[in-house]
Amino acid sequence: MKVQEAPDTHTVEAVAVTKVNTMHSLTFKLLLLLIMFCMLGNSFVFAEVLPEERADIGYHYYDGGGVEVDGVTMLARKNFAGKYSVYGGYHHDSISGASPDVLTGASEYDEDRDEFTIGGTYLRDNTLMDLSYTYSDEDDYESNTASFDVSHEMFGAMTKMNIGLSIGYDDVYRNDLDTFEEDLDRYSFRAGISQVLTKTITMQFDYEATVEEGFLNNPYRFVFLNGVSLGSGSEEYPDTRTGQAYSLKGIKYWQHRASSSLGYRFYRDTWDVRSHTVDLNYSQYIGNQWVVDVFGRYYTQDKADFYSDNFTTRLRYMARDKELSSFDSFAVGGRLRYDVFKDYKFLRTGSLNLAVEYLDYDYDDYSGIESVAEVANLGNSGYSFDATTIQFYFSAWF
Amino acid sequence: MLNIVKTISKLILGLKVIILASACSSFSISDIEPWVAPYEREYLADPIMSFNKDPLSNKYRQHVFNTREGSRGAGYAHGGGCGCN
Amino acid sequence: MKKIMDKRQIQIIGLVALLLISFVGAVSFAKIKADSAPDFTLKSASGNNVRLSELKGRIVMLNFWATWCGPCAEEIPHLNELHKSLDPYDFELLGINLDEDQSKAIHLAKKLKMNFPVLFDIEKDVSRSFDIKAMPTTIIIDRAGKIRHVNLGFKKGYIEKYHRQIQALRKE
Repeated sequence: MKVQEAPDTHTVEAVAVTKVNTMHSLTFKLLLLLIMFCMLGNSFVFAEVLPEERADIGYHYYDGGGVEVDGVTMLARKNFAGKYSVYGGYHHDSISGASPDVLTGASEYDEDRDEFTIGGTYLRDNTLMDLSYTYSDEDDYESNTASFDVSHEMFGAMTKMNIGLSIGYDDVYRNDLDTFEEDLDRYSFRAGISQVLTKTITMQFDYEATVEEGFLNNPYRFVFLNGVSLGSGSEEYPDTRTGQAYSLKGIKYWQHRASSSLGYRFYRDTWDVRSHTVDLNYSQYIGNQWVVDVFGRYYTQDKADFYSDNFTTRLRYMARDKELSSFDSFAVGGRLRYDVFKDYKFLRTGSLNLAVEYLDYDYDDYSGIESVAEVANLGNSGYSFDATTIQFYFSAWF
Repeated sequence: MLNIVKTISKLILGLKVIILASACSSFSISDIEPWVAPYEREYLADPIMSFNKDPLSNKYRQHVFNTREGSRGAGYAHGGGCGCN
Repeated sequence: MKKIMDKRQIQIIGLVALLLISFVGAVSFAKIKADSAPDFTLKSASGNNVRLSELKGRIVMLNFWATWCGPCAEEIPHLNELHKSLDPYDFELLGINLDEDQSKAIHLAKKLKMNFPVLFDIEKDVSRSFDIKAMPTTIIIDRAGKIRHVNLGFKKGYIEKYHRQIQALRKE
């Protein structure tokens, strides 16, 4: 077996952060690739299968923080010849509102976002290969993402490894300024391993590195310098951002036809944003036609090192987007699934689903002040908002 | 100081290669014996045991969080625009 | 901006992953496949017991299946046809079910109009003794009671393969 050596990464401390990070993820990448090739040389017996053939169509609604978003969404997958699978999706957001975030550019706003996804999956022995492309379009933002993912089952399907790569290219515009046009390139590399532990427990570990290069600011936002607004678009962000996310989750089956899962994610990046996410879910069958899910989530974030609600000195980089501030968030929700029919014509199962979730965001150092008239209250941290999401959808398996 | 770090790093890299090689060789001479046999996967095969049993709903949910939070990645939705600027 | 990622951390992650993998590799061992089919007695859905050794002199096909296994359900209609097409005095097809809840198996068997006996391997002993490595697994045993073919999973072309394997054994 030929072992390919990872490139030498013994960099000196002084080397730029981005470079070091790129090198590290490269080492990691190569190692994983080596492991994968090593596996591929062996014969495994438990066959991997293509994802289920299913179609979903639904409506979603979001209301909170002065913003309302709703629209339709759909996703369908069809398999061919036992080894090919194609899928496609469409998502529409119709956005209206006047959140503090958007008040800066225009008072009231209405906007639409359309997202299209197409993809294909190829199955070969115990390996699944997936290629997909997503295009998203809204008035002031256009996004293209291509992804490639490979997953491989081994040890009699006890273990599944996956690696994936996304490359994205975005264009950022301003609704109020035709001459404004900026680019953003996005790269992400991910790797994961899922492991069957017992007859009822599975665990999964995921890692993802994201690199963004280009225009990362919010084009409309302004910053306050000693209570004086520096004007729309006065935010200044570094033009690269590298983040690392690690997540570990487990799921257990209970004999009373239920499952519970627990997940944790840690994230940090070169802007010094750090976050912890805890996810909980409980699912229970009731009779032959109902499934009830109850879920909860807690998220806490530390701000970027160049974030401030009100700067006291002018800095090279300045941000006032609440996304980059320190805050806590929790969410609780539930989902009800009702199987309307089984084996109707070519459909195996058809189900109606209703999901409702309540979200709460509580900011530590964002005042929510967006007009000069209120500057006296700057520094009085404590902006918070809550929101409700509703999803109603029909799923069919065939 | 830097040299020590370098040496340690090299040692670790070497160790990795050795482990990798031994791992490879042990796979090729024997089949792995899974401790949860394929015929014992009834519960694991249940749809409620999937981390992503509602792909459409999950994707939407992750999008809602992604557009409001400063974190991304690791088993969570990626790509696409924001609808939030 | 801080340097956020320590190179050693990545190396440790890699190392742990590899150690884990090599550990799994080390505890594994190759099992020697029994040439002679291990005998068993299992209860069938119709209530009577079926003993493998009593079927000696006929070609026996064992299909290990479960309701929770997608490819298994896909294969059953094809197995029905195969069973219909072969001489019952020379050939026996047994569906060995692995569901925890046997009523589920009976339900699916009725729905798919299974025309061959369904046996319940409640304790999973038979699956263990045959060292079942995939779902479904289809084993073909010759007239002398020896395992001749082990077919893993179900894919396109498998039914034709079973036909060929059975025809070859019939000529012996």
